[in-house]
Amino acid sequence: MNDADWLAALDHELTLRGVSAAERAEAVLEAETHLADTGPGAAARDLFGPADRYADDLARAAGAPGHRAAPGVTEAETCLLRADSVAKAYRGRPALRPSSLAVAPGQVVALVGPNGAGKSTLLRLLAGLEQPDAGSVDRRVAAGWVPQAGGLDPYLRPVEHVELFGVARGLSRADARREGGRLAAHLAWDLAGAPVAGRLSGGTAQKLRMVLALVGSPRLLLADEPYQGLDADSTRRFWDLLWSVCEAGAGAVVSSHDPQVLRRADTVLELEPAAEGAR
Amino acid sequence: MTLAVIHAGLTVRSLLRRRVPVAVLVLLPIALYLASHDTVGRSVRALVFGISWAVSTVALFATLAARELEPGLWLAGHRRRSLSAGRTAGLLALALVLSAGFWAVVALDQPVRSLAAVALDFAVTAAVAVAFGTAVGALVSAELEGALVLFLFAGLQAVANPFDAWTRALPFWSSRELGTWAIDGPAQGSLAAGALHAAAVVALCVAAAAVGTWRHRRVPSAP
Amino acid sequence: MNDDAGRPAPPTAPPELSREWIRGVLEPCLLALVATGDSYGYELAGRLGSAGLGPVPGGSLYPALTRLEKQGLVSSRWRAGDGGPGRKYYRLTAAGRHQLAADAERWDSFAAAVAGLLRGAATR
Repeated sequence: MNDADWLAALDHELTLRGVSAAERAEAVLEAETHLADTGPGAAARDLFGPADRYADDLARAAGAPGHRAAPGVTEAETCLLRADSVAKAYRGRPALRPSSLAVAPGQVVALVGPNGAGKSTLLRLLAGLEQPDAGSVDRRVAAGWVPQAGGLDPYLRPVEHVELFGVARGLSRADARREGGRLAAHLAWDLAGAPVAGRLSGGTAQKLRMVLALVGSPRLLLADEPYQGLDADSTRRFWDLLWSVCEAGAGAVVSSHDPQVLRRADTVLELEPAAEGAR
Repeated sequence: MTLAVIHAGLTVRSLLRRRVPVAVLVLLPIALYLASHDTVGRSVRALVFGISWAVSTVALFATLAARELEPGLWLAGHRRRSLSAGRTAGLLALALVLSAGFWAVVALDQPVRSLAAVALDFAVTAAVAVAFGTAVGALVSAELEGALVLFLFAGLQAVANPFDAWTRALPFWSSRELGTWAIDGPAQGSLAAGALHAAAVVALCVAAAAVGTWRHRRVPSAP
Repeated sequence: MNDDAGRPAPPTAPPELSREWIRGVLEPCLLALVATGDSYGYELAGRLGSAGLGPVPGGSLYPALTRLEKQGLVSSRWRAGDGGPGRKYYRLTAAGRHQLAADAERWDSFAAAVAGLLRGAATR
C-alpha cells in the first residue's frame, strides 16, 4: 500500500470511529507532512503502523465516540439482546434448531448458513415478531429492522416513510427528513427526489429499508440479508455504514453469506438446517 | 405533531394515491344513488349502502397495507395501539369528509324529512364501515379475500328483507334502520335500536380485529 | 519487541529501548521539549531521537500530542509553510508548565526507586 492509499485509509478509518471532520482533516494532514519531512525511504505503514490501528489510537486520544467494545464482554446490564436456546417449528416441521446468542453495544453478530437453515426465522424471533416454541428472547432496546422484502407502503414516497419512522423513534419531522437524507447519501442515493416506494427498483427499495431501520439511531439493528439486490459499490457502502453505526455503539445481528463480513464480525453463528431436505 | 396524527395523514395520502379505491369510494355510492334516483327513500338508502361498502373496502385496503409497516414501527418502540389509532383516525376522517360530500348532494337534490337525521345516518354508517373493513382486513391474508368477504356481506345486505329477523345479524342493519328513521320518521324506524346496533357492531369489530392481529402475528411470512 | 505484526525495524536502529517505556514517558518528554519553544511533530520526533530515546514512531507521537492537547497541557496552531499546507505547531500552556514541573519532581524519586529495584536484583 503506498502512502496515498494509506492516508486515504486513515481518513476512512477515522470516519468510522466518529472523529469530527475538522480533527480528521488535521490528523491526515499532520501525517502527510510528517511523511514529507521524513523523505523517501520510509513508508507510512512503517512510521505509523496500520491505518486502522493508528486511527484507533488517535480516536481514543481525541475522545471520539470510537472504538468497538471488546468482544466477548457481555454483562447483563449492557446486553442489548439475548436469546437462549430458541427453537421454532411451523406446522410440525422444525425451522430452527435451538440457538443462542448475545449482542453487546458495538458488537456485530453474523448469522450464516444455507437457505432453509433458519436465519430469517431466528431474526424474526429476535425481533419479537414471532414467539419461539422453546427458549427465550430478551430484547432490552428498540431496534431497527431490515427485512428481505416488504416493509414498505408502495403508495408512500421514501420521504414520507422516513418521517413516519423517524417520528416513531422520537425525532421531529424535520430532523427525521434530514437524517434520512444523510443516511441515504451514505448509500449514494438521493432520497428526497425519489418516487413512491412501489416504483423503486429492487436495490433502491433495499436502500430505503436500511435508511428506515437506521433513522433515529436505534441501539440495535436486525437485518435479514440486507445487501441482496445491491451492486458491489452499494454493498460496500452499506457495510461501511453498518460498521460506523456499530463503532458509535449500536449492536447488530446480520444474516450474510459474505466472507468479508465473517472476518470483521465479532461473533459468527453458523446455522444448520433443522429439517432433513429443507430447501 | 404526534406519531398518530402523522400516521393518520399518511394513511389517507397513501389511499388517495390509489386510483381504484378512490374511484370506488366516490363513484360507487353515486352510481347507486343515481340508479334509484326516483324515490327519496330508495335513493338515500342506496347512497348509504354505497358508502358502507366503499368505506369498508378502503378500510380493508388500508389495514392490509399497514401490515407491511407495522413490524418496523413496532420494533422502533411504538405501541400497536397508537399505530392503529392513527390509521383508524385517518380512515374515519376520510369517511366523514366523504359522507359530508354525499350529504350535500342529498341536501341539494332530495326533499328529506330531516337533513340532520340523514347526516347522523351517514356518520354512523361511516364509523361502522371503518370498523368492519378494519376487522376484515385483520382477519384475512390478502386484498382479494377481503374484497370477496365484503362483497358477500354487501350482497346479503342488498337482498335482505328488513322485516326478517336474521337481517339484524348483518353489520349494516343499523344503517338501514337509521335510514328508515331519517326518511320515514320515528314511527317506522328506531333511532335507539339503530344506535345500539351500531355500537355493538363496532365493539365486535374491535374485538375481531384484535383476534386477527394476534393470529396474524403468529403466522410466518416466507420462512 | 514490537506488536505490529510484520512491521520492519526502523532504518536507524539504536540500542532497542522498550516501546512500553517510551510510551510511559512520552507525554512528559514532549512537554519538556515544547517548553523550550513551539514545535511541530516531525521536529519533536527528531529531538527525542537526538536526546537518546531512539526513533519515536509517528504512530505513538501524534496520539500523545492529541492527548496532551485534549488535557489542555498544550495548545496548537497551524502555521503556513512555504508552498505547502503548513504545519501544526504545539505550544506549552500554563497548565502544561505546571504539569511539567510536577512531573520533573516526581520523576527523580520514581527513577531512583526503579533503579534501586533493578540494581538490587542484578547484584544477587
